[in-house]
Amino acid sequence: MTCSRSLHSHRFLELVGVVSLLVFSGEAVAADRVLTDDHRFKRDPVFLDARTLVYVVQARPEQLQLVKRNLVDGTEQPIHKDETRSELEPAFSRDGRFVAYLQSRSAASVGMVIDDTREDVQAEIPPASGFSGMRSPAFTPDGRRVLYAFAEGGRQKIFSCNTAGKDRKLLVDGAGLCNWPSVSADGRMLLFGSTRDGNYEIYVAAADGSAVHRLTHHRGQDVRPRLSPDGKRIVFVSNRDGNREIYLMNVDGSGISRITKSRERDDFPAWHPDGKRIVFVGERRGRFDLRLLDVP
Amino acid sequence: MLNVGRFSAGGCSGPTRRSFLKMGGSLPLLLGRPALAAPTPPARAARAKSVLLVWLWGAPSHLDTFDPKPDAPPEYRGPFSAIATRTPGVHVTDLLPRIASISDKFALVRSHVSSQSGHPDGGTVALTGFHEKPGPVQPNFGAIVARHRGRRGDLPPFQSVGRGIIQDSVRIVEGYGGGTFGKAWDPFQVVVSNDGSVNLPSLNLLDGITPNRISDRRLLLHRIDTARRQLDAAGIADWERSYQLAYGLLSNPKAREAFDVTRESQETRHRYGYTTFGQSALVARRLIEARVPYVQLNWSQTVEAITPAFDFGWDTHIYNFEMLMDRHCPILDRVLPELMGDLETRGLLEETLVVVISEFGRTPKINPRAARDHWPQCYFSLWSGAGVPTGVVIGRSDRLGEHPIDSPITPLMVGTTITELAGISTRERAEMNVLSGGRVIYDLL
Repeated sequence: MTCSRSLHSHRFLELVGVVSLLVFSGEAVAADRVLTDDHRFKRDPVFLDARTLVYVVQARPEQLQLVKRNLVDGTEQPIHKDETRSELEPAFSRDGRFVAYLQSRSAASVGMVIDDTREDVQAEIPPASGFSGMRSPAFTPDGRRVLYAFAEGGRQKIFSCNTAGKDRKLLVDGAGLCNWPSVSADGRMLLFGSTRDGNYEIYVAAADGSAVHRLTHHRGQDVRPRLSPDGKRIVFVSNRDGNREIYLMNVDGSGISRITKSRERDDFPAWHPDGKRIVFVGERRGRFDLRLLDVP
Repeated sequence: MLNVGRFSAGGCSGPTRRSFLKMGGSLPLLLGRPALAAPTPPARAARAKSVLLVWLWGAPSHLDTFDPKPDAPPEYRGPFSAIATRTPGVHVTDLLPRIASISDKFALVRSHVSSQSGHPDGGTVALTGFHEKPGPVQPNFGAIVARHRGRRGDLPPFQSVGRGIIQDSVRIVEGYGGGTFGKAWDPFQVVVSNDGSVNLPSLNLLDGITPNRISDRRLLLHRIDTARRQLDAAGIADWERSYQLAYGLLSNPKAREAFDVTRESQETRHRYGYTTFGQSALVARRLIEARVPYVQLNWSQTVEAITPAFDFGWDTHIYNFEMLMDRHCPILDRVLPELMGDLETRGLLEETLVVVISEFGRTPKINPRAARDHWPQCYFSLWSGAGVPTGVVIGRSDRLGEHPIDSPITPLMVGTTITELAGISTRERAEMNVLSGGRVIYDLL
């Protein structure tokens, strides 16, 4: 059974309680389907595989929690059931062996954890002393290194380390803040966001961080870029039309189009492994749920 | 167990709410005591019949919100774009588009200064006008207004809505309450969850009384007496006051309704959003509607739960730009216009002074962690309602947002102006021995 057919069977279908039609200038272009119905604040969704979605929920006022949802039967469970610290921004190696995420340590202090689920080994990159924290881990396609953003010297840079949390290498530096790094499936292109030219824009570079090239040019904030599985398109979030919506563009920065439209916020997009859909967090009537959207 | 101090606003979890109401109807008969009310002073003219102080605990960056500096060097400016507001020539950052569209409804003050750079001390100065040390701690502006108005009816005159007494990771803000007036003038705490459920901790003193046992008057009185015996003299006075509040609220259905957001339409609740700050704002509006003289609406202590056991609030020493963009400003930009519009639609804004303020601002120069630290030398506030001028900017900061270049405004001036608009004259402030040496912000009168 294909993934798509699986999704249209079992309890998942029951969870798809709402189907809304997105209309742009009178033209219907895409429909989205609601995957969750608990309305809790959510962020950072990422597909572990076509049947499993991992994301972050505000489990308690003082805790962000990693949870895993089985998209076939609609069940959800915490990844670390007894964890009381906040955990966020999960990322998986392509084979699912490694998972990296942020974990709070103390006041305004956030470290990064890399779990080797096969060997049951955990590596930690502790934050620097004082207030400090990493951001946005992402694996290289071969699963051997983890990219992440980290601020020092007034600039937030992009580094990489191995899966033991060692061998730190600087990939991207420059004025302002860099964030949301990811590497194309062929390992040749680095995608990231940066404020080096003033506001948040989206950039690409060679995998070693050289040859930085700007893709977006807008005075709004273009953030959270993610490459499609085939490496041809980029989904990102922008407030260029007022509030935060989801946009698509080609990998060369051409053909920018908005794919969501709501008076409320749409954010945190992630590609489905089939490359034909994205999941995102949609705020509707003041509540937050995950929504699955066919991309045009 | 009957949960006396809590009731659900979810609509579907009826038992706790039903218990709350049921008990309310039973207590007066059981206890045979009248509701206690303090003498009411004669009413005097006040432009603000109520004050709603929106407390942005943790201190938001002024440069990234209401005082952008698009021409400053990159190490100051930050990534956010300045957008036009409804007020010609006035800009805020693009994180606040809805607030920008209602700038004609408030005055923006950009020249606040404080003398304290730590949260608890800064909070006390901002809320009382004076330092914590040397003591004694002065009363919160809310306690001053409450004492001046006196206790009328069953709703406490000074209420604090949010997630409890404001505190950082070390200690509470000493200036949260009655100060020299005593704990009797502390705010009545209203704890709100993101689904709109309300907990009134003062009513928990009667916890443990089940619906079955409440029918036994002897058991109820025995429990109350036992609780009293466990307290020292000072504790008894505080307990008595809490008991009176609980008694008054439990015995007056109308008073209880003020806390119950299920009486709002679903559409109204949706508009405020299901965040702690959003639903707290809705409760605050209901309290203003019920003519509570002073309501302090606190920014949720853990709006972005990245660091548990730490009251992060707007205290963005790390992740400043991401957190403002991802969480704080979207919430504020949703709730504040809704709150002010709601007050206006209901005809309440004319007689309600709304003040949005924090303990200080944040460093104009971006710190080594690419975020911003504490900066008491310059910060902002918003003022609306009660006839204050709107669509204006009062005070200016310098080109980097480091210092005011005119009209520096101190917390003592803030308190003096709030109480003046609430109808407390200079002579009355002197008689109450509060806000000594303060002067009003003339541009707001």
